[in-house]
Amino acid sequence: MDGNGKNQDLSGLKIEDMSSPSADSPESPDLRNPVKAALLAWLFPGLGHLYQRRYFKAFVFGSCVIGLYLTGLWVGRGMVVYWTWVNPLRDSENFRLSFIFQSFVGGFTFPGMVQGLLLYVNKAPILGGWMAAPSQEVVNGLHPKIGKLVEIGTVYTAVAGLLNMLAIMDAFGGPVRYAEPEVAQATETVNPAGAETK
Amino acid sequence: MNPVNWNSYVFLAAIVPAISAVYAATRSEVPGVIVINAIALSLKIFGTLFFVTAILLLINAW
Repeated sequence: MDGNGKNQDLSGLKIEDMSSPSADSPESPDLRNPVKAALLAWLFPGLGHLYQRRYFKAFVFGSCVIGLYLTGLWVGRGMVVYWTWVNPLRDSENFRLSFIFQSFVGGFTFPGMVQGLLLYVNKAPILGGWMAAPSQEVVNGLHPKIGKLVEIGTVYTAVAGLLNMLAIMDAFGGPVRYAEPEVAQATETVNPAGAETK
Repeated sequence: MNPVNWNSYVFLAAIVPAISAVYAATRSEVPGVIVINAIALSLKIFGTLFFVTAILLLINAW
């Protein structure tokens, strides 16, 4: 019985180590307050990891997400990120599906949200109309001028948002881990112990 | 510096390393591992694109 008990304890330790490695392991970061970190990561790409003192990842996420977003905004002449408060079932043409993805970049899209809200309540745009929904004439005139760059800018900014979603999840839950073969070996050690008691 | 005249492959080449770096960063905490995985993933994607483009060119030339 003693041997059985020892084996069960050991196997339990092994499995626990797999799911949550010890704090001093380089693969197990101190997530501090995960909810706060995730919120910060959404507000400003890289800020959540900076809060968790994961400086290298903060640099990687921040530079990649912000770089992609600003590049997209630049090639799209600043007219690819805006929000319109319309019912997608009634006015699908003016509904900005891409903004849902872009909004995961967080603070960078706040002006777009505010301008969309002001437009909805029939108020004049602020900040000189920055990130406000352009008129139909402006949108129609954009394609002959810059062609495919409208789509490329939209894709870049949307991809930046989706990548920041990964960063937010990383700030909340740490790096992705998959079950390793050793887990199966650890569970196998329990069964022979059970056989010993017979 | 007018991106209107740039080839579409330029935009593709710019977005691939960024996606690879973010993906690699979500899989590890060690900076060296992240960098190596990001480079490896970028090369794999570029290799695949090169391979597909080469096949398309061959079909076109045939």
